[in-house]
Amino acid sequence: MSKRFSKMALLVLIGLLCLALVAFPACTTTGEQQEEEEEEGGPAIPYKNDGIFVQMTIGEPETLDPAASYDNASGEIIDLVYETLVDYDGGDVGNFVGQLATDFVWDGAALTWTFTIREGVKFHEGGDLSAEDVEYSFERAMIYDRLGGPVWMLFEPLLGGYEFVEFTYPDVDAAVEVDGNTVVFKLVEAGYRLIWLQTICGGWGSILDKEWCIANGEWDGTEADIPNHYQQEDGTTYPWNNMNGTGPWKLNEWEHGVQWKLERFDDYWREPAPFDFVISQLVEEWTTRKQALLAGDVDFVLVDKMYIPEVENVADLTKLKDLPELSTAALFMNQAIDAVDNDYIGTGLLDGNGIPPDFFSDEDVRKGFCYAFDYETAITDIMLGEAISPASPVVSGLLGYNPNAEAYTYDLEKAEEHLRAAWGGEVWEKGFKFTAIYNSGNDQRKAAMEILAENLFAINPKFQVAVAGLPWGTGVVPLLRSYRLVLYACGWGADYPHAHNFVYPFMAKTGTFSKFMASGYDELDAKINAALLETDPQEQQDKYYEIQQIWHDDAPAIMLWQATGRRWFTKYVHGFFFNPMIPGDAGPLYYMSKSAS
Amino acid sequence: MELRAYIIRRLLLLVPVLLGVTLFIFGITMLFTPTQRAMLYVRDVKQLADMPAVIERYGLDRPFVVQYGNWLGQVFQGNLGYSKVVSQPVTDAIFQFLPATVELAIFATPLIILLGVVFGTTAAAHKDKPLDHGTRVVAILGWSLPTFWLGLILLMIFYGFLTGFLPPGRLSVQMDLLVNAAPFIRYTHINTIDAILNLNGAVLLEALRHLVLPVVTLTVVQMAFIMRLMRSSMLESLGKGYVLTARAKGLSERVVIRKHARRNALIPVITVSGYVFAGLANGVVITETIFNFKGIGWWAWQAAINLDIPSVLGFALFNAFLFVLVNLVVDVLYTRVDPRVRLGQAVQ
Repeated sequence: MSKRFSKMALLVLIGLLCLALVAFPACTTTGEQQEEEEEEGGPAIPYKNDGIFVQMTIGEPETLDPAASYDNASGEIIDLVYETLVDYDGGDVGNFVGQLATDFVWDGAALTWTFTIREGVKFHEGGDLSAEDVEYSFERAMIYDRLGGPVWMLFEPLLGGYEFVEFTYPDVDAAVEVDGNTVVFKLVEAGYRLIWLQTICGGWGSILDKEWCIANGEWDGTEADIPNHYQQEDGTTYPWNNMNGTGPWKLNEWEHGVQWKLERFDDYWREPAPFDFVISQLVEEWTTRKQALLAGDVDFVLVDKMYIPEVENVADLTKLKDLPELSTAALFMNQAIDAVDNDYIGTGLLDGNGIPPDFFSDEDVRKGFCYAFDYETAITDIMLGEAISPASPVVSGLLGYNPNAEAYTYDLEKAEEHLRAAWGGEVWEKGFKFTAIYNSGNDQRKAAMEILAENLFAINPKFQVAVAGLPWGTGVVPLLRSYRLVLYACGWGADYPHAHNFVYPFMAKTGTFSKFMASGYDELDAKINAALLETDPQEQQDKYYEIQQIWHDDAPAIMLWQATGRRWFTKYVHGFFFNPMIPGDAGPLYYMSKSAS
Repeated sequence: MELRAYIIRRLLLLVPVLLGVTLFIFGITMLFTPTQRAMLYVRDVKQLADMPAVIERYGLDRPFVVQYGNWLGQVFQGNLGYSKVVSQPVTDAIFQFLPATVELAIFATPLIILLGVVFGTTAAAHKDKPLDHGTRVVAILGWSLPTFWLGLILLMIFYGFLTGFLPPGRLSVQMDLLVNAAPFIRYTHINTIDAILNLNGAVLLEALRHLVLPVVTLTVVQMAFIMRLMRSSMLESLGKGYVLTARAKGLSERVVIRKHARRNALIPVITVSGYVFAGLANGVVITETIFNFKGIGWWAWQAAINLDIPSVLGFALFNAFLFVLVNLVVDVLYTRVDPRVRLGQAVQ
């Protein structure tokens, strides 16, 4: 072996060792060093990618088809490419402005909304917008009726049901009619008047080009062709992977699992879009997202709550906080547990080593649990202050929200009082034991359950709640569906910003959550329905206030929190305003801009 | 045995291998209940009401034989199913994610082997001397460093501290827009190769800049094994009679090592190198994730954690095919390195 060769090898070795030595201290930065960096605010973030808005987030769109989209990531790209008849007026979810409709008129006697269609609007592939496109888009969505899709929201106000099989094609056809340059929607009840506008602001209300759809093998508009398109398999509709909207940007590329790119649509009917390109990259790794933000390679990143301290003191960022998201989470108490093969209720008896299946049917048990939860600590320690405490499922920001609704507070004395009274005193005397399940990985829900368990134990050491994690899909859901969960945590985000969208799943007999708690009852269902169909705004508000009081009195679940959001942009991005119904996190990009100044 | 016949025979062996692999994986997935497997389609609590319809639609409650038969029937028609995790057909997903992984493997494998062989040879030639100890330290460091740790550290230094010097991803935003627009032609979707074919130096440099960190990470971690193997193999060769004869003939130490000892010592390294390439080419999840270099490993990992059975099976087919192919190439290479080896026969 030559000496030269040996020297080279030695040099490479030394180089590698130096790298390791440099790397090691870097990764073990002390808290003190971290603090110093934070105080300095870090290096300046350079301005890059002029005319391009780049974001890094963690959501991959499931589909680009507006009629199939029911997830936030899909909704985001659809919102930028397609347009709806009306849109929210800025951040106000109770007021609307025309988008593809120039005018919209309610006829209370006929129960119809009439939309005048804007003229001169072009689709990205050259077609002209017409009233027929609007009719086709809604009817196509309803006859497609994707399994697990969002179209139930159209059926409910238009036809009073939830899926296509409940109706015939003539029913669907009659619900949406073209009259000249207007489109008329006939609702089943006047109470849906506002909800309809809120509903069609969502991606499922997007307008597609009828000719483009038919030319690419979609439903041809006839009854005979419906069987070919009803509940088509995922991925098989043409708009699933292709887009042709009227919005400010058109699809450039969807690189599945990696990124999507939009480019400015030059024939847009309004002022041109502020960015030549909008790019959204899917990056799961936080460090990668953070470094990209600090390097100026992206303009916006998703920051999970646990990482907020890492960017809170960076100087060159625009930070927005306390944005009330329209979502909430609760701990549900199952009043009719299925005891068969159920390991989570111990002996299945009120003997100190288990609970009976109807343990939570006693109101005092539920109220005792509600008082035993430390709401402030949960918000401070678990949500790191990024949440508010809701009194009921009707959270702040929803129409019908009562800011003065009676809420449970952390009060161990009251908790004890109720638990002493529960089951004729047997609960206090014998105690109970059961296992609460959270979906593994969701440390916030786990921590909330642990707070409750510790407080119950503090009240009476015979009160023992074990907390266990199971995978969401393979563990929690099968147990939930088989009524074997005892106490479980779940969250809900708004489909449309109306109290009904929260009251129904949390309280109705067949609601998404209440069904699996066995907490609903006929009288309450009647009140929920009455509130929904009330046309007088004041009366409707009163009815929702009453329902919120019923929630408090019944105490079917422990309301955990309503998260408040944050946004992190480089300082070069301007114009953000918050509207909780805009899908995605980057906000109303059409109204935003980016400049080095 | 004639080379062509040997290759055909080995390729025919693929059929039972692929059947066995898919049968095994499909069988394992049947341990989950239909409800559990339906969660791939029912992602949100809002869709729970449609669970029974989903189970019915996808036949998730049918007997194992029926479900496997249906899947196999689709495969024979060239349809590997639909990958829910990336919302596209499985074959499209493989073709989309493979180029990134192959690009990593193309650059990392030669580096891993070259450095492993050089350091292994050097260590053996300087047995129990400082150079030998030094290489051992490097080997232990490389082998024991968690990939995610090393990757993040490299990212923080060369992207974070050096403000964007060596970025993650496959290309910058501007270059990505450039390569996806005319006149640039995506022949292979392997950026470096496409850049060369398009005679575009800027794209080539940019692609190389993005490759540095993931390739270095893979090299540091994987090289150690080759290095240790080469060292042991070299020490064994250096003790053989023909090496003593070569030395006795008065050949220089350089010639003895290069022409006599190292060539024989390479045989076990060739076997392992094949698997190194196959291992890289079927995806390196952590490296691909940290450096946002989305390849087939990232996709397979997503499929696995989401119980996306068509994707998992598609990946398994690809993987089995790859390993059989690599085995074949390694066997053929043996005959070139060691004349005693004949295809289809034991070593004489």
